[in-house]
Amino acid sequence: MAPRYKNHTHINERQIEHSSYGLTPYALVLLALSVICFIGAAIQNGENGTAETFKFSPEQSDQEETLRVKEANSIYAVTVRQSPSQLPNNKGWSDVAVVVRSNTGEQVLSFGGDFWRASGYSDGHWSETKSSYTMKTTFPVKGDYKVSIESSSSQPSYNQPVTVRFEPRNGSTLPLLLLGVPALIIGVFLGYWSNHRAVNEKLSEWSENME
Amino acid sequence: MSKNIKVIIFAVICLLLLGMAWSASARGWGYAGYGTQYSESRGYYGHRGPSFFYFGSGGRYYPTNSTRSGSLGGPGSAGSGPGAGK
Repeated sequence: MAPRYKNHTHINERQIEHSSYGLTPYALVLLALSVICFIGAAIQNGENGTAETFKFSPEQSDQEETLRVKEANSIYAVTVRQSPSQLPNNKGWSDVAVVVRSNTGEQVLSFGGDFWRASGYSDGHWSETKSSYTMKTTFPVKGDYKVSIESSSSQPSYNQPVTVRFEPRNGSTLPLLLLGVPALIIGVFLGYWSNHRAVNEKLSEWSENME
Repeated sequence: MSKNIKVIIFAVICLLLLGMAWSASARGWGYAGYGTQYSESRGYYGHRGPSFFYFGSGGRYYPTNSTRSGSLGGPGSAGSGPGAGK
């Protein structure tokens, strides 16, 4: 089979690898930026201190725990867990919301999620459960915060204990991912665009060799 | 302007963007609670939910004034599974 890009000027492997060809240098800068962003996001997602875990009993609706935030702009990954094992299969659910209030009682944060379990037969037995969710949060002001839960369920009372874990993190991954992902996409596109003839020629050669 | 200078300027712009992203990251940009303001007279106010770009399994929840009594329908306005849309 003849090479598909025979009419184009032949570009050799050296040119593909040559970092000053076309838009290649810009593509390389963008790819380097994306790699730094992804490494940075992994660093910022790392733990930064000791986690605090609170255990709530849904039947004690007035239970409140205190979270001490030592620095402004502290970031926590808050994981809420409850076992759905006692819920009716396929139709039972339990919703748990976490409410964070200031010392003076003002709502600062609130978020929720539900827990359930399901199973059935489709090309064999399958089962699925949801027993936790995580919400990443920022506390812009240092101080003591009151943590409580609100819960409801498909059955009149579902008293499985709820665990709320506040895990300190270094920072938010979002800004770095918002920069890194487009940089990666544009970098790959620019790199390909700049070297597409040579790349296509090479791919064509490979596919011929495979045949 | 030579090509090398253009590439260097482009790299410097990328570094500046990286610095801005790092600074926003250190302040917890995009997570629930970011942007919440505090003033002596008004107390806590401002944005409290996660950013549009946030993807996580928890959803924003709007409690009533009293967290003790619960709202009509209770929690469960967010999330998926059998309890969704409650």
